[in-house]
Amino acid sequence: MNAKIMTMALALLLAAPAVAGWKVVAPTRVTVAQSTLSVTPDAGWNRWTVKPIRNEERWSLDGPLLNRLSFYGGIAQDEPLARERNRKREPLPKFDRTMRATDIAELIERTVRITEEAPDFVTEAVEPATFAGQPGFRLRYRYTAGELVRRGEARGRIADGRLYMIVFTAPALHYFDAGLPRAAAIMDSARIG
Amino acid sequence: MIARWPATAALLLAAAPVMAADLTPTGSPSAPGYTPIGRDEQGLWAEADEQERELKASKLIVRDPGVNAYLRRVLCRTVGDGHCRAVRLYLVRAPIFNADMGPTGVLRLYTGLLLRVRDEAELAAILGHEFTHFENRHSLADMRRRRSATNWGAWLTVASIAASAPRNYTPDFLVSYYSYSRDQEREADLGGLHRMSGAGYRPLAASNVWMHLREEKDAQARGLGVRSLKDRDYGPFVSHPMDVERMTYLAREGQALTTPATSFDGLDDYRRQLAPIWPMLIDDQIKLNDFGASEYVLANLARGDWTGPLLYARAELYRARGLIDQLTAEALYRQAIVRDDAPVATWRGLGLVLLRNGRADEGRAMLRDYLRRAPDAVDRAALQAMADGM
Repeated sequence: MNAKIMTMALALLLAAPAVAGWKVVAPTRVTVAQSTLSVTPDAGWNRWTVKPIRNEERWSLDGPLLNRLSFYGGIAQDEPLARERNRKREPLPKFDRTMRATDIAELIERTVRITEEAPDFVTEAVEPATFAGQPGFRLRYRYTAGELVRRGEARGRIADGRLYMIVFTAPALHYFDAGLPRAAAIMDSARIG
Repeated sequence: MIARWPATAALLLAAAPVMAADLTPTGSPSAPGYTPIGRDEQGLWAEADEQERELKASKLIVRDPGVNAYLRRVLCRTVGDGHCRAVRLYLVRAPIFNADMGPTGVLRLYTGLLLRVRDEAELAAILGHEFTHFENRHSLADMRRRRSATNWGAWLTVASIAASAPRNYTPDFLVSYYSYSRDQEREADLGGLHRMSGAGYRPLAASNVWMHLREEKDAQARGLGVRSLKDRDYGPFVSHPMDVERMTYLAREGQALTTPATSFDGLDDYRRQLAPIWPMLIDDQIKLNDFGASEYVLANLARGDWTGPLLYARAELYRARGLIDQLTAEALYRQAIVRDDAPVATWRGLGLVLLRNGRADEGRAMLRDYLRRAPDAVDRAALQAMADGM
């Protein structure tokens, strides 16, 4: 009996590091999403130790429901922007290297409509913008999820056929406007390679 | 070990009177001034009232007064003016085929259902079904049945452990609960059918709803390149009968109820009254990355008469799907754009697809044309850059 308890305790201890956690991000240049994308944050950001998909990393200031900064470090051809619940029967829209800014806006819209069950998604702006020193795009959108209106700003560009993008999402009430300048500063600091 | 049995039996006996003490409500819950009777119904109503308070404030409620007034008219015609007053109908923006009814008369109808139902008679069948749940107090019966099933399952499991013959009895009782739930749905289906046909609606429309839903599942599977699940038997733990069963018994009963007095479809009324929210409903559907089902839904809306907005929606569907479909998208946008009722966004779609199809000059000109027609477009800056050849 004792041996059994010891084994279980050991298994629990071993499993512990796999539990989702948040780590403080140092305010120096860091590479993100295990890619060549790098940014320089200010102090106070926290990194989620779980990767939602292979090329995504998430940060937050006050918790992901209140503000979320997602880094997409090179989404490859035919890859989705989120984890697919059922790849065969409920596929998510996929990235295509020939996409323009308007296509990326539609890609995000369709993904969020499905993954966040947000039928009132509205794109508010799609415009050209420099990202990591080259011409890219800037998008603004809003949607309701869980009875909370959320707003998002995405900036990015396609480099070597892959999508590099940073997305800031937060509730429209207070948190989006409050967090956007700090998120925008991180987007401004982006470098690829 | 045997000595434990009397103790368990005593516990069960002690618990039994407590469970049986509640009153059995009588009278119609839709009667004017009805108040819930007994602890269970009062509790259910209190809970439902709380949920309704939240629902009322929901940002996803479609509040178009004309549409809501029309839905209420259909409901009142189906169930009768005296009864429909007790029902609060909420149209919820969600691109799914569903509706539900709470114990207090809160009827939630989802917008995806309006897009799939083809005429007023089919809508009446759904509203009649939901009203039957309310009138027959299905929520209360369902709650009691579930509670009883989980109680017995838990007690017998405890008893079996005490008797050193451990076995989890909960699934056995849940099977009977789900079987009961399916019976409630059958009762609501037939109740709805009798209500709608009693109001002069074409009875066979009720069966049609399920026939079309099965066809849509086939179309969806074809679009995805997978096997259709329309006749998949999900076993004993499902709350609703299979679509094929509902289609069949509603057709059998529907034929029997068909008379010259029950022939009203209300197709034109349905289309005209819902017209203000139609573009939103279509948009919500085609952005779901569900090509097969969306195309099926559009073809049903068209019934061979492809209007500008429907052609545009179909073109958008093809444009989003990938490279091979860009030529189909172009052809569809061109069919839409020559029509008087083409949505302004047709110029945008055609411009974008032409850029992809290697017709850069025409594509840029089309985007410039679009920006003249839609000066406040949210993607103006990006489209202008494309129109300028950047």
